[in-house]
Amino acid sequence: MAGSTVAEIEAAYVPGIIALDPEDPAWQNVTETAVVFSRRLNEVGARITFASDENRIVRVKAAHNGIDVFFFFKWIAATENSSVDDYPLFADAFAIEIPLFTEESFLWMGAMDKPVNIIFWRADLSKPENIVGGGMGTVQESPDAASQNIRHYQRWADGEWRVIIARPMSAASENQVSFLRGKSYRIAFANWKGGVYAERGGHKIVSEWEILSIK
Amino acid sequence: MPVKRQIRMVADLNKCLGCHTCTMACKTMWTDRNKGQMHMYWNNVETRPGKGYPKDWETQGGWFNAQDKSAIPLPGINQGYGAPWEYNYEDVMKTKGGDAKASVLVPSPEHSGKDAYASNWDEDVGEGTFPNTFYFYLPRICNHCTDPPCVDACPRQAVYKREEDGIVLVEQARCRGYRYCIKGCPYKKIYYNPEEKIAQKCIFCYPRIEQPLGTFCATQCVGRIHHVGYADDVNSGVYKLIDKWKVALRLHPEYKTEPNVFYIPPLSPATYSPEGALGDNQRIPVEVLAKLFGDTPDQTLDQRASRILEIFGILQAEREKVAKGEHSELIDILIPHSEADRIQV
Repeated sequence: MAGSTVAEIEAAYVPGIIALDPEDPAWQNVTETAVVFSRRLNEVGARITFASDENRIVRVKAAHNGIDVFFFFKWIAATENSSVDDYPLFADAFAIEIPLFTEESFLWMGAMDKPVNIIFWRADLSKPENIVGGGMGTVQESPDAASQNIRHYQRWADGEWRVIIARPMSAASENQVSFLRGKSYRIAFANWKGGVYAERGGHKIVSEWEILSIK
Repeated sequence: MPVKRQIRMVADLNKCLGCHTCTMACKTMWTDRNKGQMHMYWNNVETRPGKGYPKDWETQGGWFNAQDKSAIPLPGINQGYGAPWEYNYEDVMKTKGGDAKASVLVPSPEHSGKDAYASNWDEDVGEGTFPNTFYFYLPRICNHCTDPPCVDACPRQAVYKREEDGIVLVEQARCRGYRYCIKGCPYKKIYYNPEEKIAQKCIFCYPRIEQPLGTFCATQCVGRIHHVGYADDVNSGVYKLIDKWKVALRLHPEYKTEPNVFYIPPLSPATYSPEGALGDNQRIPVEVLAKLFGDTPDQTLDQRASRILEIFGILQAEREKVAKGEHSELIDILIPHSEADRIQV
């Protein structure tokens, strides 16, 4: 149900090196939070309709070592859709959204006076994109090379995607959020099923604004 | 937003000889940048009747008629557009030593099987029974429509129509490869570059138009079939052909997009009777042409056929005038002597 409970995701402090690996021992003692995605958007071209007849659950872990922050996502996906190499092919995707310099913002890609920082992962991309959005239809990969500093791990196996996204906690430019210890952030997520579902752009399912606490 | 001016093109199909020089001019000018463009022909020439390029594009629909817009198919590169292939030129031409045994040009990858296809795959196949077989050539670029469905389809306003000349462009940096524009366009004249993961299309050679020069397809045309100019320029060939002499028609006006590329329908030789005598009918049945060309979305096929016959009447009457040594403005326009006669930009 939309807006029922706000999930609280704790980014645990794990000193030392954390590898881009689901088997890294850092994840052993990190609490997993199940986030329900229930805001369904159907988009065909420039027309968007809202529906709420679907829930997707993504299991989220977050950790940091004082230098880098790591997000670990797992979700059920019957097929792996990793290619956009032909007209009919669309890839699975996932995104994190955080207000860029305000405490809150508009869930739908932010607003002009309250932009959002988005990290966009898509299965075919060589690395996730750092994006700034100021409202629907405005998202743009941030042009500065410094902010395209996101590392990732991805693997689809046994009907499940496992994706880890890592970034320095300090913003590389004004196009990124800085993650400070002891601070909480609003965070939202979006998920796209590629393949026959052909989800892309506004055609997706998103979570509510949840809470991320950096321990 | 309404445009200040609209650039237009008229292609005289009576003069198209199917040489594909326009296609190759466009290809070498714009779409040989990377692997993702190899299947793209922003300008293509297809044999009519035929399946066209991409294959069966006329049956795929677009924003104008789809009940379920998400159900509009997206053609695949290999089956729809044709897998781009290369020939073993170096072996056969022995330009670099080559293979002494190779004497025949063969495509790679080999094209065969039921899914094999390419731009103009059915070249010169046409229809009809000998001796009354027929076909003609149809060169196609983006129609730079007055009401472009690709612009409506894009949720990011990455596709736009230029205010100064009505040229429809895809802002490459804003495009995120959603491909709604391809679904929206009933002429399937927007392409997807899987290398760059974005949509690309005919740009009506806007850097040349700004010079001002004609589009490269038009200036390179061996048959000099194209006229390029502005809709509001009453002295231009396009204005005179479309609005004054009314001899140019739109391709599939029923798609309701108001295309700005017009065609003068092709005359054809007379049919033969079984005894070998020349008949009264033209080889290309007017019904075949009426399925393609018309003035407005609401015309019936019969009305379109009448218009085409009316145009043939005008063309023939003006030809006869010239044959008798009289002057004809229309024929003067249709037999251009210099580039300036065809291109008024």
